[in-house]
Amino acid sequence: MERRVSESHRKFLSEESRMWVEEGLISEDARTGILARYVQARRLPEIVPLLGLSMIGLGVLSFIAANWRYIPALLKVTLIVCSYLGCVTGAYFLERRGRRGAADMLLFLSGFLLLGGLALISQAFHIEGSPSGLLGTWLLVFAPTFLIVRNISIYILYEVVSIVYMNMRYMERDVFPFLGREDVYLLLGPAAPVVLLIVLVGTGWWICLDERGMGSAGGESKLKSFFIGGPARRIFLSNFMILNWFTWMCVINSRHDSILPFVLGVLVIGILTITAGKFLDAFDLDWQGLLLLAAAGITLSFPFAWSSERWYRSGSDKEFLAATLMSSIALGSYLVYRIIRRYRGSGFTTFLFCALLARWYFGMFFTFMSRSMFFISGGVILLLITFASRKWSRLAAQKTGGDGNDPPI
Amino acid sequence: MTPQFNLLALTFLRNTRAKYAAVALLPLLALLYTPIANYSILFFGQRVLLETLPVDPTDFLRGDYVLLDYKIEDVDDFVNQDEWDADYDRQGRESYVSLALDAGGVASVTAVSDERPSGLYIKGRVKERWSDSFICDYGLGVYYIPEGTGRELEEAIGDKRVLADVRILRGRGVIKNLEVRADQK
Repeated sequence: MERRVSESHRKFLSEESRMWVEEGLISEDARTGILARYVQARRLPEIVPLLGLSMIGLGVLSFIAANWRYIPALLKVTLIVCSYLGCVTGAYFLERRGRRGAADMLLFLSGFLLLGGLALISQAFHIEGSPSGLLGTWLLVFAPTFLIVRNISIYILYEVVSIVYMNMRYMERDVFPFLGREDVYLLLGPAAPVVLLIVLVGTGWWICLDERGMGSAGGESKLKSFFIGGPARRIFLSNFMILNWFTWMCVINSRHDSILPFVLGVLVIGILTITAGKFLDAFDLDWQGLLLLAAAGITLSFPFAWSSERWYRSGSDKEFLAATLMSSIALGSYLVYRIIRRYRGSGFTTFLFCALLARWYFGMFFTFMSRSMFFISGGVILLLITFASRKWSRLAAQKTGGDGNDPPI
Repeated sequence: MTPQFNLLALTFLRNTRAKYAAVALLPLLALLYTPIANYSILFFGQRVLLETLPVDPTDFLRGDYVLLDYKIEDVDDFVNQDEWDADYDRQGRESYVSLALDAGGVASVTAVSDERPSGLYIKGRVKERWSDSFICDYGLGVYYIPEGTGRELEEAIGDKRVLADVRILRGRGVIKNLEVRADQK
């Protein structure tokens, strides 16, 4: 029976078992048998179908939103509240039965439902709210889930929405409070981006306190692990890079000027990382990843920046599109960074493939296709890629006699 | 963080019921606030018809919603321009616009003030559109329509008059419907 384990676990087991063979504790055949039981989980097919399913979910939501008028208002509200409550209640019962992972996934879904629900309810009553107000409201009310659940997927979802929100805050000139209330406006006001940054960093640290998930469990090494080494540091640095770039890009409002602070930001963070790493964690430097992220970000921003003159200032209807595109670039760069780290041997191929696919897909479909079709077809493409990727790796494994998984880095 | 705090936090996280109550409380309040507030306006609010002003007919419909401008947004005649220019911070703050209804129930502006007036009024934010022109934003500028029906509605409207059926309660308005009248603009 096969068991899927993480890359680091399999590497650990491989090195340990080699020592056992050398010490005569087990035979080489036994080692091969043990290693065959623990196969390395592939990250790409885990990320891609999750994105694909999220896109299909968004497509279904936009389809419902597009035809929302045909459903009576009271039924709309009941549907939204019941689906949200159903998700949370389902998660509650799953957790009580010890299925924590499934419960967390339901709460992740509840985040989508809450965001869609807030938008759809405002649509049902023809409320003219700014999109950033909607996202700000979501960030505010979803914060307890984000802080309490401490799940990496929810963290990334919250982070992505935060980035979209911060971009929009800077770009919208006439901000109308989403809920039409002054007190909410104050909470979602100009200080919000700074507060969000603090919350994101703080929560990253808070997640590190736990044994499960992405953080380290050690008492003394927690702080060092967060700021210097381990997966949490990579997330922190990636956040910082993305936030730095987009904040400056929006504040300065010029494509030439925005590249300079971005490059400076990369240099500062890179130097800090390398310097700190040299003294404390020499074997886990991330500077290659940081430089690749910078290259990916700058390359991906060019087609959009040059496609039209000051496209992000051309009118209020472009703001949502602009922020969505910019955030997609951020997310894309982040994923490319992770993929390159995982598939270092074929990093540039993966990068080029992802960049070309994203550019082609946005360029071809976003302008003329309905939003629901855009998301659903994008999701289906990603699922097909996953399917093909798995099939190819199985075929390759049959040819080479391997297990169909990539070799450990 | 002290070990006591960590212990307290972990104890809270292990209490599944408390944890999920904390997770669901704020989202539920946010989901229910808008329907309750808007239903109360739709049920108890006063019916007012607002004449719409499609400023740019070629750009009247964008995607899945109709962009609406209103005649009552034009508050030029009711704003002391010098006073507003002198106090720039005043722009964008909430103002009260008094309304009067004609025989057909269509509203027109009678006054703009910082104080809550008696009688029928609506809350909005007065801004300078360009030099010597003031408009008031009431947050009623969009009307959502089913996907793909925009062109159909645009053709149905043609040169006809479009009135927004709005309910107003304590200065807050909610669009109930759009009425297309046979008489021309």
